[in-house]
Amino acid sequence: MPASFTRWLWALALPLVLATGCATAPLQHPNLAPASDGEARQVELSATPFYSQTAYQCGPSALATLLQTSGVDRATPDTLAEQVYLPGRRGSLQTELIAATRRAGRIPYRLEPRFEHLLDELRAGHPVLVLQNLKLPRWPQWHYAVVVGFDLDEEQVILRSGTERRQALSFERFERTWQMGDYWALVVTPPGQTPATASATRYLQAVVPMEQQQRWEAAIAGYRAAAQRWPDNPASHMGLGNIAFQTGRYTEAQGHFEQAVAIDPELPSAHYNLAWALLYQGERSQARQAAERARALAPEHPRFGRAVSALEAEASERSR
Amino acid sequence: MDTTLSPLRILIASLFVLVLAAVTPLHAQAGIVTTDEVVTEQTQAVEREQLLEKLDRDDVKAQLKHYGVDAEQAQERVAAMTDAEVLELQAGLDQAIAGGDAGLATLLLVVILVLLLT
Repeated sequence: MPASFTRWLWALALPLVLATGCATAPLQHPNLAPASDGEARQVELSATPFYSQTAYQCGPSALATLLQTSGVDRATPDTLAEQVYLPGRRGSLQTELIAATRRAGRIPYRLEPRFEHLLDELRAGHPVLVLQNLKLPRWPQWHYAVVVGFDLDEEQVILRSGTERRQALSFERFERTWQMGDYWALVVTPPGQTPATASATRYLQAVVPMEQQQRWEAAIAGYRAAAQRWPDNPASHMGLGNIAFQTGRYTEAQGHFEQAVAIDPELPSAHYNLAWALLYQGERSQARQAAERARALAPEHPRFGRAVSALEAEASERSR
Repeated sequence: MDTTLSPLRILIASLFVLVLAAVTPLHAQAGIVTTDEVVTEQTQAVEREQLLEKLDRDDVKAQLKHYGVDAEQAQERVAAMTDAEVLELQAGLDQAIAGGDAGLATLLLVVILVLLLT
């Protein structure tokens, strides 16, 4: 009897569990760590500009708000619409907001999907662009808005959203809509600053495309900011060195690679690139020593293992 | 169940620990690359190559044009994307989330729901 009763219960409960599965995904805000001493319980970045959205243009409006705050004066919803709006989709893609940020010379940093990181960025004075689903999982209505404040006691966030200059949403309501957008959140800081919650690798990953796309000024500012914040990470110096190398400043490149070596003497790529910076200045024997160190550190590596022969080949090519 | 340790068990356990302690540093000192690492590295290289072969910026440009972006802008928009981002959009720009509207429709939905439920 008890066994069949349990089975009955399951038969009743299972469809319910399945049906409400999405709605009952655990929310983060009820488990926020209490604000520590000196941490703001309430923030509102009132000076954040607002651009009331016209039809379907929440992407350009929200991005203009973010870029203006980071010091891009020429960013307006109209100019950005050309860069991000897709008429045939009546909306803007996340990828294109990121790409347009790069075009404005700013580094797009995606936050980790954590509610507390949102609050920490606001505490640091950075508005946060978020993706929300304002309807239902199966019947979505995707929307971009900018969070500009919160109040831990009122359990509210303040947004610049749509046609509302100051929209207050409860933590509960906001997080449900944001959760359906997979907690997608973008922060754009002025050059030389890093997002408060940034991790070194995540931030550097956001800077690398700036270098690849030869947006040198922004990439240099990004690597410098990273070098300052994470002095133990050699990658920032590798980035600065690689930009100097690519723009023909070999002496400067050498200096950056040497700094990377100083931070991590066992990093083969630092020795390898140092070798090339030296070779391009005509320091052939020093270059060879650096290449030998790269090879010694990673003899089996497809690239570093052949460091010396590759360097010699280049050297004879150049002396021809 | 017997939870006390017999002398034999203790002996076996300590032998095990000793062997582990002896073997582990040797392994680390030798510094050889494990087969797993070699195979993983190969797989990653092949996967990367396969992905890059598929990479087609013109395809995404064409899709953007299809959705109403003019040719010159499409070119610049795609140029500001990374390889990974292009690949993602190639997989289906029509599937990607496009954030657009706010407000009014939600209100309508709420009204409909209220009407239905009451």
